[in-house]
Amino acid sequence: MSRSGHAPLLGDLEAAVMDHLWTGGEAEAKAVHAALGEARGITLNTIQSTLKRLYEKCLLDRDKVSHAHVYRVRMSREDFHRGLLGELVQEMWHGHADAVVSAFVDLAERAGPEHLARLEALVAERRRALGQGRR
Amino acid sequence: MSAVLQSAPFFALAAAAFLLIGSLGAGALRVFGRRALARLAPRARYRALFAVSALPLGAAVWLTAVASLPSLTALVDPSMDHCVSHGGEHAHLCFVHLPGTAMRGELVGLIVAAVAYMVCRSAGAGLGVLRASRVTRALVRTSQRDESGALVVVETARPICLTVGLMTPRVVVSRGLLAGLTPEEQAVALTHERAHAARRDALMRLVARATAALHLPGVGGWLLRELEVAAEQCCDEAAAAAAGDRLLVASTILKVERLVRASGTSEPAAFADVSVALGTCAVERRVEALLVAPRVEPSLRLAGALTVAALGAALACAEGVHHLAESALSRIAH
Repeated sequence: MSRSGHAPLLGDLEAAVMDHLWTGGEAEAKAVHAALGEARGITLNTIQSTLKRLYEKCLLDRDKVSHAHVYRVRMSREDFHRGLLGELVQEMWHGHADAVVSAFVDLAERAGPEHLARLEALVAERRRALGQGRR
Repeated sequence: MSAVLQSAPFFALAAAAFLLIGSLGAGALRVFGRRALARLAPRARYRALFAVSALPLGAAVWLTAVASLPSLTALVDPSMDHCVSHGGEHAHLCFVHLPGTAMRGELVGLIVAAVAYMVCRSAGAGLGVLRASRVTRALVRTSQRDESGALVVVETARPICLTVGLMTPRVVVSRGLLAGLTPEEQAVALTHERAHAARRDALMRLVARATAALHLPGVGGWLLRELEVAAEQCCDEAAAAAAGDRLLVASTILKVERLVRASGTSEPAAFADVSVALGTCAVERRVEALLVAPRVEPSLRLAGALTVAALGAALACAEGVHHLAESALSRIAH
């Protein structure tokens, strides 16, 4: 979580940098630039700014080694996704995310256990009647 | 003050009155047409509900345009100017003549307040949607994708299967969901979500949410809820057609529901099972619909012909609508 209490949101380059660090582990700005910056035609300064922004969003830690900062992720990809999904569910509760998300089963509405059991029994009964005999 | 500014409150009031007529029509459809709607196949029901959701806005736009037609003809041909036939005290829905008497101040204030309220409410909802869009974009950008780029896999044990994005919808699934389902069930869930993407349901829902705000209290929420169920059932039918097994789709829905339930959702416990208690749970309706044979899609030609006839009839009565609107406005505005 960021200082604002919300899951931090990422731009395209920020996401690419995080992906690089999640996959490859800690790195200096020069190494990140060699991996991402050259292909995108962006300068080392841009990569350094992006790393600093991610550090300020509490997504990265850094240590000064010699004259350069070495950056490493503060949270795993799974923890980051868990935070985003939690926020998405909250947004759905407030009705904001409904407009941009369709879920296979509604994230903001749970069927009661007795209703689920009744429906499962109905499906099983229909299967038996059709003689499909799936397990 | 320019003619446009002086006339604008009259046009706004006329549009509000026509919007109210459309809202009342939609409210009447909710009361008297609910059973007929429930009998329709999902796709036809979705289209009908979407048309009803657009009814207030459609009525406001079309009837205001129709009521403005005599004035527009006067602009083109001054000899057709009819305003001389009524006195200067009459409220004018007119682009040519200034209103003889200004609208009552409190009524202008009410119109301004209503417009300001709508703008603030839309801005609040827009910010929420923007925030949700940014969350989904961050989720997509930091996840792995399949070769097509359309399927996004999120690294979490929480069972998730979503379609996200307005203009470029993508299907998002979690490792937790994939681990909990058999390959056949995974195919059902993915086909269902791809159907949402193909139908651009998120974009349509955004439009429906915007128009639902113009309905009478209770009607907009009902429409959104019914639209959501109809959209889910459309995608269930697509998955059932692809799998060739309606019961597999029904059992997959129940299995995913069980997985989500077991994973411990983050919603407030006080809200859990409320909708079930009311007997309107989407899962229940979806599963029960899959236990019976699919309904035949009716032809929409008759509905289309009736809509065109209604629009044409209103156009043919332009003079009458104009005079009726002006007479009503004269009573209200002065």
